[in-house]
Amino acid sequence: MKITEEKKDDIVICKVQGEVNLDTSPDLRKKFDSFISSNTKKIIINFSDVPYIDSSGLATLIELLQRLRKIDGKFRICNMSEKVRSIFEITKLCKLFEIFDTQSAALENF
Amino acid sequence: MKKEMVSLVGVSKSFDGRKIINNVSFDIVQGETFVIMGCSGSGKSTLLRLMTGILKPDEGRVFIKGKDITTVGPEELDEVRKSFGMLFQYSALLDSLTVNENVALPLKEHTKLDENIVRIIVKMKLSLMGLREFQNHYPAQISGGMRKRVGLARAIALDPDIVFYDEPTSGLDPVVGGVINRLIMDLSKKLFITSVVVTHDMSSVFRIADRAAMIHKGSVVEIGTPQQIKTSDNPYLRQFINGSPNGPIDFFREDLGIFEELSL
Repeated sequence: MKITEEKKDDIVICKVQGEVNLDTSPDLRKKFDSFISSNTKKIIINFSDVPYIDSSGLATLIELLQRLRKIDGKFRICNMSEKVRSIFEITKLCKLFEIFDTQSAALENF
Repeated sequence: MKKEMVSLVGVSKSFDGRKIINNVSFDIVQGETFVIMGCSGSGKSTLLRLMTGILKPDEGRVFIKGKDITTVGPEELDEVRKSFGMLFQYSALLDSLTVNENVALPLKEHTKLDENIVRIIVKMKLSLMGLREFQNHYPAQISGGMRKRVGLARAIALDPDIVFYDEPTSGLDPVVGGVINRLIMDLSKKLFITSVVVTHDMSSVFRIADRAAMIHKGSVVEIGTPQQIKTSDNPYLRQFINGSPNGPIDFFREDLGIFEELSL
């Protein structure tokens, strides 16, 4: 899995490439740790190149939401494939997260 | 074409010179719910142990996701085992651990995930099974049906591609059995988990199976869709479905040894 980041004003756009699974989700968590440590409060996670996410990946996103809420921060997810989106729908997590079709839509009014 | 998740090729197994499994072959494909049915002592549980690598066949091969588990070493077998979960007949929960701790076990055993991530995953799995409010209970404090659901939450803790079920509805009333069957179907249809179910419960066969195989004396006597099973004129199958004591499945042989034992 590869994670790249880009900054737009006070927003960090985090692009994830590859499966988010038991082996790779700890790396994503480390990246989120660094965002929290640097007091980043607005994060967009671009999932355009994520073919699959497992429960450990979903749990990592839930934890990020918990941590951001404590510091009045928030994050949005965009560009999910249909398969990944269906995982969020089955687990009802689409109700918890802010999900957008495109990165530009996620950036609007953030 | 769907990927083969479990394949048996000419599998045989004997105990004390008695053949328990005799030249069994079949393939189970991705997302399929495959039911193995048969009477007590037919060899279906032995088949399950062979498919999960608990037993090694004397002849033949067992493939899990294309990997021949009859030739791999213990470390590789452990790795293969991460791709499947197992619901045991009596749930096999550890009585000294809470529901939460039981479900967390495979995550702690097989991964290096942070404790908080494990905690969240466990909550997600218990929520999927409708058991979140029982997370701090001990197995002895919940019903048999709930224990099965905890066992199922534990079986899917690592997001396996395949789940093996050993008599998932045995000992449960019809309604709770129906709940377990619905969960099996949900996991299969919504999460695309391949399900291999060993049972003698005919209502489960017709409710959940995409295909079913009937085992008798260690051999497959019929294999087909529920509709094919329902309409088959195979005498073993007919006797099993009808629950009849009369037919080719012999439970008792005429025991004339008693005369000899009584010196008659």
